[in-house]
Amino acid sequence: MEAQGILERIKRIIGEADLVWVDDQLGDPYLVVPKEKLRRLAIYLKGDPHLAFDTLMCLSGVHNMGERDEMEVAYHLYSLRHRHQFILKVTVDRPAFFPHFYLRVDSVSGIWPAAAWMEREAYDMFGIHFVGHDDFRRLLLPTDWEGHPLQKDYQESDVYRGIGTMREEIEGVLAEESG
Amino acid sequence: MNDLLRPRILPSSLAASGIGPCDVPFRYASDQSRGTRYGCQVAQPSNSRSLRSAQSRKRVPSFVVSRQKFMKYPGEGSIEMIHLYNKMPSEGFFGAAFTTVDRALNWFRLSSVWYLLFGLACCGIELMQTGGPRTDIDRIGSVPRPTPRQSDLMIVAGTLTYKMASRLRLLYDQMAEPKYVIAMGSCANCGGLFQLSYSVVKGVDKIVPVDVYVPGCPPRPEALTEGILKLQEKIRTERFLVKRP
Repeated sequence: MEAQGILERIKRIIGEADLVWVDDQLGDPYLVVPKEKLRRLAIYLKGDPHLAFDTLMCLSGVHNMGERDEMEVAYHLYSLRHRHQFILKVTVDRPAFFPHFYLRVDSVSGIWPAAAWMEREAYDMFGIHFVGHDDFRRLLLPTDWEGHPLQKDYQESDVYRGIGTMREEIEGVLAEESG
Repeated sequence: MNDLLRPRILPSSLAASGIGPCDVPFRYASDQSRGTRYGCQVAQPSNSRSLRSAQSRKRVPSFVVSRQKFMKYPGEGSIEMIHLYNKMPSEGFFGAAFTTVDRALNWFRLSSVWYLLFGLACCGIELMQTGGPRTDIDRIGSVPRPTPRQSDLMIVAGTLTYKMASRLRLLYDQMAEPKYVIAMGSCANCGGLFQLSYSVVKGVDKIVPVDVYVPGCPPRPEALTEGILKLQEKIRTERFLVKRP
């Protein structure tokens, strides 16, 4: 089934409200869904025999820091039975205060087990919390790491466990470059 | 007689890199003094009959004393080494050498620098090549060990992350003194390509003291071989029972 057909089927089940269909010819078209509807939609996408999205190919976090400071989670889905694919996106606004409280997205690791580690990675790098995850902790960085390094306003600390994080020779070069 | 211990011509690459005759005095000495062109006595075949006849026969000196002036190394004056070769016709030559404790210990140590396998990234592939048959560092006494307890040298080959840093320090602490570290490649030297990243240690010398830095990305096996040779030069000038700084 083509992406347009999949979209029609989705609209029939959860309604057209709050769905944003983006087909800008720059890449594959994708559907932006509100985060409240994500879990219900994911169950439907996997369970519907005409869609049967049994594989989560990739789950990735994105930090958009333009006019709106928002976090984005992209889900690339594939159906081995029907050989078609679909892209879902969820965006979360990132307020200036208590960001960890607002950056919450429902976990889909109960629906697609492949999401378990990818959600941990997205949390590790972007600080997005996935609610309903069984084993939610950092994946790559050490457990005592502070901050989430792929956030665009991430500031590297000067010292980690007593190890300086800057080479002394380059410190002067960088200072000269910045004036 | 001074020419008795003159070494064979070594391959130019080895000779240029500091592997001199003094590293292998015994082997070459016994090989060469066996020859006749310096007028030495030829060793008799080793059976009991010739042994008896050789003992009964009156012979010219049974000890050959020769001196060889050894190469000068930094921090060390000229040392003359006296070899005494007792010619035993039955079992070839019995060799003895007088030297200083420093020299002997250093020679033992530099001739068996066993290194800990510590391949962290693509430099690890070059490290494996260095131990392989083409650039065979078994020749200079370096063999890989899978445990820090048996290692003298840690070759940190590759990108060291902060998560790995505590493990590296633990393995270094488990090595027995005297211990040495070679930082192999740009990443291990200073962070290299990843110097501005958040997760990479900007040089392993922030974790452990480094003896030799090998540049390159990654260094060729020849470069690592030269690094080990440089380390051997360093070991050669060390003093016995002096605490390392």
